[in-house]
Amino acid sequence: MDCEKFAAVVYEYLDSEIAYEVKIEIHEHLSRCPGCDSAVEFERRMKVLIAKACQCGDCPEGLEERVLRALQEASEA
Amino acid sequence: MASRDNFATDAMPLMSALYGAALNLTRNPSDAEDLIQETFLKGFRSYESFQEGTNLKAWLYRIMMNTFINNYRAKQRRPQEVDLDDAGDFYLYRKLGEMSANQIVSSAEDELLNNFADAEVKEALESLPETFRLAVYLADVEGFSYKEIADIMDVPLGTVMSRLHRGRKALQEKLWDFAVERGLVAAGTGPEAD
Repeated sequence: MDCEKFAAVVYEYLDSEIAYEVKIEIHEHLSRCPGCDSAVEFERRMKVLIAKACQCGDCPEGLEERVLRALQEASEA
Repeated sequence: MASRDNFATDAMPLMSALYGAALNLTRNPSDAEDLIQETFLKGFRSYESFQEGTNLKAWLYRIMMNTFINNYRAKQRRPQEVDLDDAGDFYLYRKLGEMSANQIVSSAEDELLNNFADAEVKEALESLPETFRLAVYLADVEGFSYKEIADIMDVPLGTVMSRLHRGRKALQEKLWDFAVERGLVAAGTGPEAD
């Protein structure tokens, strides 16, 4: 595994979508390449940043009641 | 086979997660509420076809995607397939690395991410073309697997991977623009400066 190959699979690695053998190769590469190690840490934080920014919290008030009412009507129809 | 009688009990707890995605798709609270209602009604009507033990949230997402594509996308007149330039690997990280320490105005390189407001990250995500935006949303916010995203978006696995790669890089380009605009980094740095 070299830096170029690592860059091509970095997202699959971060998304846990990578085969075990490749993961071993990646860990081996990261252990001797501080540049990639630091870059992947940055990408990991990007993922967390996006997840945090998009937590929208609760549904608008009344939506649950509205949907339940619609389901009720549909089951009676 | 799932029973309709259980639909409300099974599906209602997933509503707030789906609403977040509906809002992300429609970018409009009123359309998002309508989309949620239609999704839940369709889910209820076809609940017998849901395989118990599989991922109900992914199943509802798929219904929501189809409903969105059929009912809303035409209305919004958004181009269906747009491609993105490949921004290069580790875009934001490398842009930061290209600068010398004194060009970073507000903070150390590894603290820059903390300075982005949630609203900016959201805006950067919303600026992406729909297919890329959605892939990133489903992976990073909802934590779906590539296979589940492929099912929800009805595209091959390779397309999901390509959209994630390009979408994430484009999002970083946008964040870099914000950082420059806000003066978090000095404008005109990096290779495009000359």
